[in-house]
Amino acid sequence: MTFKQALSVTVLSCCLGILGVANAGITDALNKLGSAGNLLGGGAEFLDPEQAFRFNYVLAANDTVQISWDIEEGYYLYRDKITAKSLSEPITLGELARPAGIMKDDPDFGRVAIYKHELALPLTFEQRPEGPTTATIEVGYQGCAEDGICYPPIKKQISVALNQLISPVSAAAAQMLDPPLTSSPAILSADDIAARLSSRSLIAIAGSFYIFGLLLAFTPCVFPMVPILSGIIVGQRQPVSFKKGLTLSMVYVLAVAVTYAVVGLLAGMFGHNLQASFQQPLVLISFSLVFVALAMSMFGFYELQLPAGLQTRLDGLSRSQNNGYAGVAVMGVLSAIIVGPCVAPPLAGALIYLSHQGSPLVGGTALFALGLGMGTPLLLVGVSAGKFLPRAGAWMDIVKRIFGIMLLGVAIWFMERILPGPLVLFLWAALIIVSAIFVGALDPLVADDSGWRRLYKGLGLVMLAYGAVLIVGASAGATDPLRPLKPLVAKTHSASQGLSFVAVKGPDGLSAGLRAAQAQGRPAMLDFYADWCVECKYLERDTFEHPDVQAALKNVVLLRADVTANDPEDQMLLQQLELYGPPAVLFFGIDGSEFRDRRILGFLGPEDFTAHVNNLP
Amino acid sequence: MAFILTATLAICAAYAGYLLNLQSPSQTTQRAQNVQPVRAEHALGYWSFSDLDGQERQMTEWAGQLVLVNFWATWCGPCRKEIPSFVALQHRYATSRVQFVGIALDRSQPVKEFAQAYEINYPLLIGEEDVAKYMRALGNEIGALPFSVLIDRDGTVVETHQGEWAEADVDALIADSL
Repeated sequence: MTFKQALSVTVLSCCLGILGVANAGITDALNKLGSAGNLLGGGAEFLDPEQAFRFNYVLAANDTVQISWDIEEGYYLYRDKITAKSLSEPITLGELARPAGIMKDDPDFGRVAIYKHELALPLTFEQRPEGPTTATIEVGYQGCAEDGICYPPIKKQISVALNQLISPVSAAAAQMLDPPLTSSPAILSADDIAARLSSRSLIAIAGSFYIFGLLLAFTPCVFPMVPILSGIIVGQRQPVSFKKGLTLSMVYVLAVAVTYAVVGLLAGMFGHNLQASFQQPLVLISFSLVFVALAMSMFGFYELQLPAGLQTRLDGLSRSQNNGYAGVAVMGVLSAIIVGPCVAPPLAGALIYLSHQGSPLVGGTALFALGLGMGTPLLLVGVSAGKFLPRAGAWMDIVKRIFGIMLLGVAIWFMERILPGPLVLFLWAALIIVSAIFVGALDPLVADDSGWRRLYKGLGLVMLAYGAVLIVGASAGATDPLRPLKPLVAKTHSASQGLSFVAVKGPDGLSAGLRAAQAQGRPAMLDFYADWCVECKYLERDTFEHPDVQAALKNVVLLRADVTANDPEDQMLLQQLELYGPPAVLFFGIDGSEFRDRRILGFLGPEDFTAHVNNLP
Repeated sequence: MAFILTATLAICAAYAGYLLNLQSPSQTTQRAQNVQPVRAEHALGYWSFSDLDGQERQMTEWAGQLVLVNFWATWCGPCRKEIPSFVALQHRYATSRVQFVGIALDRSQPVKEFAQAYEINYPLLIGEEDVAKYMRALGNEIGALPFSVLIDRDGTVVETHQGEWAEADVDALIADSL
């Protein structure tokens, strides 16, 4: 067996092995599905209570324990059967803050509140001695299956070491709907997401993550992969056939997917520990710097490459085989790592979800699917590069420069979350002006220059002028690249009254706000906002400022939860509402109950927003 | 090359099969529930529970009859739903040596109130941990309610049923076993 064969066998078996895992999981999921509707035969198969209600707990912040359940589809827990008490004297627990739950019409008990899918509750301590100590807490719960069985009450004892300072779990880091995804339709009903993320069957999870991956592929994050892959393919010494192009890009994509699968496995194994705070300024800055470094290499200031030793070995390998699968695979792994930071916000969401699943199998499969999704469009690149792209040449430099500019854009986009708005605007201006210079905006024209040259120069000058306007706007304190002169002209605008929001903080703040609205007999709207949430700013600028929207919301009590700080209270609120983070707009009826299926998660333009509000029940 | 591909596929298939096996024990145990346990001793066994008056009652008290043991609780919605049909069936088969016995995983007070409200015409017994053990012995691995077992006159289990049991099905089964 030659090396080439050995290698392809290894790669194949790895992939198939993972598929095997996925497959096993799918069968399991199918069996579960089958068992749910199996009452007809008389011998229905129901889940063990431990599987139907997966109980979990975590020290969410110092002195707050978060208890949670993953409730299997078709099963539910009773609200009033959930109890928690301390078994360690003299420690006592505060009152249990049980969310309202879903009302279920029970033929026998009337209307009872139940929980489905997921439930998370904070346990706070009312009285506890000073200093580190261990508390044993007994948690009780009881639930049923929709198909007509009930489980006996279950009691769990958990022991928690108190006063070990643990940084808060960063729940809001999980922005499944952060800007990278918003090129897709911005409005996703909460049910969509709940269905995508809460359904427990592995097949559904893998499918959802594949789709997430596909969406991610259309974000700037995957841009760096395109030149790398085209470079590989164009860099082959013979012209690349269609088949070869496809194989090469498949190896590359599989390597990317396997890398993510490993991350997913780890997330599944280590659970909450891996919920790295992706939103930390330090992390964002380093991601940003990585992208600047990548961009610089695109501009040809230096060549980014593997350490010389590794490079020559890989080169040697690929030369001796006349085939560079190993090199391609290594590049795939490296690309995944390089791009990782960019897809961090959605990835963090995925990881938090996976760590809740607590299963390496699910984690690995899900992220493998995500990687495959991200890589799917790259297959097209690989194939088309083999077919259409000419050999490496001057055109590659132009492509590289364009990518360089986009990478710098990504870097600025990262910084948008931590830098003040005008400074970000200044950076955008700088990027546009420098790009204009690259296009040749200031190069003199000579009489016999071609029409193209003139067009480029013209476009370059437009960019230059716009960049200049941005700088002016930035120095006047503007933050919006599309309306840079707003601070200068705002005075002349009729001073339209913006919407006035009442700030709410944490679950208690929300219930107080809702009670106040109820007392006035008015419906309420809750807007989730954070400084780093770009979508929220668009929502504020384009939607909430619009007169139609303001008219539609005239009678509505407007609440706003600013979760920029992402402190335990913010996290509790997000978790109670089963949200991953802003942007999110929730609507509540006069009775204070939420119209759960009318959530807006993402940006919605003024017209759609007005229609949405007017269509509320 | 073809050989290597086939070999790889075979290895992977075996691997997948292995993983499947790792996952399936829970399934097989659940399926075992449908297979009637073959038991040497009488299904009513040596179990005893206290009745609503606090008297200890041996399950063997009802040996020799066709016994339907119903495990339930007042906090269990589906259980409450099916009990009126048991009352009706007990009434219908009152003269045919058919005995319903309810065993509640509950406290005595709510059961008493429930018995009165639903005019239950068969003995009700109370127990906590022992009830769970008895259910498990009869093949209810997950311990969920309602769970009913039809026991023949010679003490063998005719059928076990998890979840609400339709009156017509129970009726037919009793008629067959008489």
